[in-house]
Amino acid sequence: MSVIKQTAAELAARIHAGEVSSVDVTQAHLDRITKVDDQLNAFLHVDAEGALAAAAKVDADVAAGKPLASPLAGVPLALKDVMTTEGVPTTCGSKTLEGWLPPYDATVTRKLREAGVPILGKTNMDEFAMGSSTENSAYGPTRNPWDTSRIPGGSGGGSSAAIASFEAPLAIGTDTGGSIRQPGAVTGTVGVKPTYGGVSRYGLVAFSSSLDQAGPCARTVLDAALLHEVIAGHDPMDSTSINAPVPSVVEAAKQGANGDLTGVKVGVVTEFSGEGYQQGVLDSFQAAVEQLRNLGAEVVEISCPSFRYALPAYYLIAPSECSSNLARFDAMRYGLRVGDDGDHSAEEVMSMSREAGFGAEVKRRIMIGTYALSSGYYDAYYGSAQQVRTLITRDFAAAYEQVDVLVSPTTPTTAFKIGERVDDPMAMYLADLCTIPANLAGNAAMSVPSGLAADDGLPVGLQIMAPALADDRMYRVAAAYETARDAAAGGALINQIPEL
Amino acid sequence: MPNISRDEVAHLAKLARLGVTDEELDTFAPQLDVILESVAKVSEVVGTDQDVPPTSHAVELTNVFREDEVRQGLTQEQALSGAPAAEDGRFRVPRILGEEQ
Repeated sequence: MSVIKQTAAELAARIHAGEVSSVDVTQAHLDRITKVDDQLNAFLHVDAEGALAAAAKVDADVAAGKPLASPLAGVPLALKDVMTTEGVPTTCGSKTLEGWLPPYDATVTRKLREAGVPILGKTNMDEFAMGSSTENSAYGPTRNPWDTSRIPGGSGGGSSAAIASFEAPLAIGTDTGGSIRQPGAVTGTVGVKPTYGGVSRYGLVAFSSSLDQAGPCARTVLDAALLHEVIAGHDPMDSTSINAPVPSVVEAAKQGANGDLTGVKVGVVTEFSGEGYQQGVLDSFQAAVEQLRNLGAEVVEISCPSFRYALPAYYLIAPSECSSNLARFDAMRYGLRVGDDGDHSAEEVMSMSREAGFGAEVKRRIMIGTYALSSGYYDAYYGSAQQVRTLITRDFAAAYEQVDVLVSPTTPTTAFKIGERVDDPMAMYLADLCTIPANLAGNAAMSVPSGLAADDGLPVGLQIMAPALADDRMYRVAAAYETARDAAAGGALINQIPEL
Repeated sequence: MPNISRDEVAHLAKLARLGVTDEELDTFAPQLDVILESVAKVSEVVGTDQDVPPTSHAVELTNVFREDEVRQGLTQEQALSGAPAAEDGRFRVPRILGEEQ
């Protein structure tokens, strides 16, 4: 099998055994990017030199018999362009940051470098991670490798497309309302939003600070777990970072792969079905639930009535935090400056620069947030949204008293066509319907491929949710499910992707 | 509840230091109206129950203390490296006072 088709775990084993060099593996992925990325636009910047240098260092360690930096040393990765990389362009998909070279590395970036993971480049995304399709990038949309007329999900569509098209075996995403899981679902890949505070936000350019969480994207559950353990852990540079041991997700994934879920209680969220859900998605979900039952899990239905209000609460809380966070783009210390000709005041330069630098969705969200936080509206909008957040947290707590994990479809539909929802913000927002509650509660959640929808032949994702700091629980269930599904289907879903 | 006018959108944009064109106002006003109409649902669910405390953050936030030790930060050169304009080792900004001030 060609190098690019191998899993990260397989590549790591072969590199560490000296059977193949990290430089060759890294070069193979760079070649793949050169060959197919003009069809996808998954990468905004490719750092061949940096990636090959990191790979060469791992190869030298292997040759010298030195202990390796991490279980993923030498396995290349694609990094979402929302993570700062010292001296390497970081745009967040925005014109505002075009050409910006950050003076520091994000903690996630630093951990990847220390782990000997070559960073192939920076992936495309909806501007400042606001969107569900990657169409809001100032640098053009990314295309779904299953069908290039369709969206790869968003905001992390570059990362999901890179993984699905074998441009990279691993990627980093960030998930504020579903931006790792929804792209995972619509590209037939695995996407994990760890417990809030599990992975440092230092150097993750902030969109909605109480919700933003970085996590792994991969083609298998075990690969996601291996990457999870590399990037997770307490960081004094992030005041919301949780000072607790990282859940043993690799061990959980290996245990789950044995395929026995006896004694595990799974709750099906009853609110996430019915009107607005594609039949092919619902059928795939039902089959997945049946599969979990066959593995020995006890399946019950669980009602979480407040989840119906998660979407409206999210689209108040996230824009509110965004309107505050994006105030930093004031054209004074970094980023785009327009109109500085001596005739305009600083305030006018700010307005002109933000007008020129931000796209429509970012402007909409800044204005929604400004509205929701303004006096007279604050209680009815932002205040109520925060109360809904409490109710959702309570629903989760009550559910987890009865079950170990909750499951639902990751998204109501499969990948939609590029252009289909760009002029209808509310239709776009519906893509996050099932993923948002876990962000509002700060819990762990992931998406794992559940097959192709019978009605359109496109990938569907199964969402598995777990309580905060119980990330290992969902990895175990996901790995068991993945093993059983792949065995029944005669191979991994990603093997069915059309050749580019 | 909302029914947001073109003028209100222009006001919001001004508050947010966001230049918007007339064309954008025509697009944004109806879009923001639909969005606000939809998200206003949140007041239904808690409207009657005043006992629900607000959650601003999923993780309980506490002050994090550390020793006040001198550590290496960004150099002046690094801090200015992304500046649109710099002069004498400082950020150069457009005038901040109006004519009358």
